[in-house]
Amino acid sequence: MDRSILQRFDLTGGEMLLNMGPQHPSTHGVINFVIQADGEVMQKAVPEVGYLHRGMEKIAEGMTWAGFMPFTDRIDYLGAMFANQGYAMAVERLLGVEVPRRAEHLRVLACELNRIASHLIGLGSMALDLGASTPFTHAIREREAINDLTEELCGARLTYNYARVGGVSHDIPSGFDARVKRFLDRFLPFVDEFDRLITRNEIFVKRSASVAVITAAEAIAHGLAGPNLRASGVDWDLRRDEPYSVYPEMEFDVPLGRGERGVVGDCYDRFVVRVEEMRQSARIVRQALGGLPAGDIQAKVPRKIKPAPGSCYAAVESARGEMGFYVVSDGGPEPYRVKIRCGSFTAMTIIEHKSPGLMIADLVALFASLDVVAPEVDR
Amino acid sequence: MTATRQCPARDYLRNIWNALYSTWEGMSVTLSHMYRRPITTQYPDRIAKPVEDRLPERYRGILEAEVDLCTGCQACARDCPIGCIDAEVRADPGSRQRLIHRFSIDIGKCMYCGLCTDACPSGALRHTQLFVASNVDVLNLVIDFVDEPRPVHKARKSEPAPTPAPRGSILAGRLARIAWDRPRDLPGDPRQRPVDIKIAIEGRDRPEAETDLLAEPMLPAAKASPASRAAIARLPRAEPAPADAPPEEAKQDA
Amino acid sequence: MTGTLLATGGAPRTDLVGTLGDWAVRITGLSGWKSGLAYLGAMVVVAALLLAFVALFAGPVTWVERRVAGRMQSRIGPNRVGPHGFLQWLADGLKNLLKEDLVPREADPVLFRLAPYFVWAGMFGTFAVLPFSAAWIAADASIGILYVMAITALVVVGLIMGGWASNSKWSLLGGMRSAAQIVSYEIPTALAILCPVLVAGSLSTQDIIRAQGGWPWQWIAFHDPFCLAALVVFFIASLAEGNRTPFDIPEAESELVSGYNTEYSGFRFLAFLFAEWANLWIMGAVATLAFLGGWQLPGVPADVQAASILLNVAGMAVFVGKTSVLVLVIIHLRWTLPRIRVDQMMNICWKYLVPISFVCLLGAAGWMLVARKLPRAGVAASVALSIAGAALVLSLFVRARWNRLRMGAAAYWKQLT
Repeated sequence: MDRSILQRFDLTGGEMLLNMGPQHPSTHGVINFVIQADGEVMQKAVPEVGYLHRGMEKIAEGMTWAGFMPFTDRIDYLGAMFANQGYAMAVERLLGVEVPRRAEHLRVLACELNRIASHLIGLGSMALDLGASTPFTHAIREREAINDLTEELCGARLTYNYARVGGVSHDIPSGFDARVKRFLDRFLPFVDEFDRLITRNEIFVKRSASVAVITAAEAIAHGLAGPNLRASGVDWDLRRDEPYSVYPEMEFDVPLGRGERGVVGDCYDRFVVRVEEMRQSARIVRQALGGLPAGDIQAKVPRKIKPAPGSCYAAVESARGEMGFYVVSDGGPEPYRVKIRCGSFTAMTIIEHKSPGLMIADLVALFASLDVVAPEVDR
Repeated sequence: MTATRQCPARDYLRNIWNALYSTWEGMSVTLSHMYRRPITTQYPDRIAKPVEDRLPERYRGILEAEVDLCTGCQACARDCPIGCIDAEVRADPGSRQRLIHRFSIDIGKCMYCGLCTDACPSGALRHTQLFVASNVDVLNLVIDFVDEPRPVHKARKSEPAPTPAPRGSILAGRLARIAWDRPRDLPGDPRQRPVDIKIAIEGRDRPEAETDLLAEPMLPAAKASPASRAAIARLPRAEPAPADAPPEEAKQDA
Repeated sequence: MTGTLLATGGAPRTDLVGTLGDWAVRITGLSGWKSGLAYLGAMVVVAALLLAFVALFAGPVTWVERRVAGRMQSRIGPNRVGPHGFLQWLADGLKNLLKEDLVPREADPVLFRLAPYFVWAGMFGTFAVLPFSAAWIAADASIGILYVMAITALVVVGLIMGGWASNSKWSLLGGMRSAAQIVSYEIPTALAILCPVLVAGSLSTQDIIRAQGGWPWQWIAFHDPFCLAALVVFFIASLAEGNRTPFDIPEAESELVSGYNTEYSGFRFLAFLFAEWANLWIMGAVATLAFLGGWQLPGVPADVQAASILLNVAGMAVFVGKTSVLVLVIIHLRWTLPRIRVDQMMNICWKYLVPISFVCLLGAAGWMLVARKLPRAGVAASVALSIAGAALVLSLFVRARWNRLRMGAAAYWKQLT
């Protein structure tokens, strides 16, 4: 713990000062919380980040444009496809390259499968943090199917490195769409079973409904994005409102938090929004697979990528919100600057704001419902 | 949510009913799982077929290089972001033929991204389905595929393309030479780690850009369609900044 | 207790200590104050027998729990150590015993070392009055149930000691939470168990069982709907007493790492865990003896059962079977439900369980008054309630089968070779 963080606390009252982390079963990764608590109720909880900083953005300055792609996998290892696509989009905009339609469909297919996988882990982890270990194992079991499918598609189960500047790296293997359809046929009944097991469980509802309510205005003021924002009632989804790739051709609903068991913007809404998003992603996968056009999977891109000097920002709707890549080129073979904007980092800022009056158990619920992944916070 | 002030008795009873019913529902789900077969793969000994045989064809396992097919273009070494491939190709001064002197891959540094296999034009460098190669000494993770200098392969239109060896056989042969507990050799060991990694961790000595890189307006991020403008207009306004925030001072300055 | 130790004036012995002590006195011919030594020896022997039973239950029940948890989670559970992993508990116990004996430097030296034994003694003390069969009970105290309630309170002392003496803020929080939980839930436990006491008219555990019969409609659980509700209240409250999910806040892994357990390792940690697993038996046994008919065999009167060894064995099998079913239900609940927050736990105790148990007590008393006038209606109501209870249990299995049919028999999406 960095001593300077103690300046944020008023230590005259003599309350207990606790360190939750950086190694803790329920901080999702290496994050530290310094908590000032009076028994069970907290006065303030300040997150301390930086334990997982790997200097990604600095590493980018030493890599070639195409060579940085595998590193984007590791920004958020649960949503690697999104990072791949975001970075590829940014470089393609700088180069002025148009991606073939087949490649765009494959990117959407891969990204939506990845969204399902990421949400399964996020939901399972939230259930696990609140004490129910069985839904986590069921979610992991279903995620194995997606791991197997992506293993067939691009060769890896977690760090995909699937997108390339100008398209994707592999086309679908034979029999792939039959297997994806078999998975999808199984998946929607599974989500219903998951609902019966945990989403509608009264104890789970009582632990998460009306807990740590984030209003729409607060969410926007703190820069939340993705399911966290939509759970607070803000109708904003990059796939629909700032469309990219072939999302304009896809039909899907954007679930919003409705406060059905509590107040709009509580932890339960963030859980339910993710469950609904999984169902919608399954819908998109069916459409992407069904309407796969013929064509190339990669556009013609020079061997040594050297975009003209300039800058560009490209954002994708990742499982954790808006993942944006701001790239600056100086005309050389390596990026001048790559800045990565992640949804989890901004989600950390709201924790200190919400913590006064919350119990430590509620802090666990809040943190799990925000679906924060530590590598995304620190890069 | 219905306000509790309306009818506390009804909420009380509804709480009890919800708790009992959802518990019953959850118990039936977990009970149903008792009747299903578990999905555990009892690796490594209680499985019917080795895992390596069940992996898909595109699986990005440990790399192997079939030097018989290598054209010496060194595209793999250039494309590798980490620099774990050391392909030393030199022209023989006498016969002017290009010889491959060393082709070694440091599988300890490799991150199995596949950029090198994408670049290889002849298919000499490929991923195998093997993934077990642990060793006690990190130097033993450098796998050499060339024992003595050999000429590069030149693809001729008259000859048919040579059939590649079975995937994984070359790597298995190379790994078999290295015992997992082969001890570290004394200084002067001819095995070396490949060239310095290209990542500039200390900071690059980069000259200042001659042009103002941000002089050009940023390329448009998204199509500002009427629909997206309408979506932006629908968003609720953010709360005003709290009283102790610095931006107020900035506003006063401006 | 002492009244039954010494001369009983010819009344037959109902407890093992007394029987064994009498036999020892007869053999050794001691008299006067020295005969007390024979009874002391008998107590030691019976305690050793019970210790063996508790140890042989607490170990394998961890195996059952882990296998059941595994199957509920689509995985196997331990299966390497011994046939089907049956010796895993021996391996874990041995591992714990071989660990370094760590006492934190800042911890209170005496209290830290004593705490596990308080918890363990509070658990083991209850076995003195738990019956296994008609004639097999260590001590047939006339205050049996009261004694159980009292001695389990010793656990609270041990938990607070363990939490405070560890000199760690997280342990302290865990210790305080668990003390609050156990003390609060003593009330609904005691009130709920008063219903069978009322129906049976005695606090002694054997008397409560003798007041029931072997058939389900003769059990106290189905005597009237208030007693059925009292069973549910008692079951929930004893889950809280035993720190089981959904009430395992003191050991909430995701918040406190391990609560009061955090600083303990080796044998002391084993003692805490031992007490927790053996508590499962106590939860099941008290519910069985009070509500589910105990060791009563259907159609056999209790005196006949007490006389014959074979029927004693059968009665013990029945008792063990019923208790095991309840233990399996407790395990099932653990792997299904999430954890309750500490203030919600207090809420449930004081706002739901205590008022409901009061209502059950008054209702059971009122029902007894009415049933005395209309005995046949009472029996008919019991039969109806037992059919309803069986239907509830059956509905769980029907719904589970419906779940399985919806998802398909295969748990995995593709065929694993």
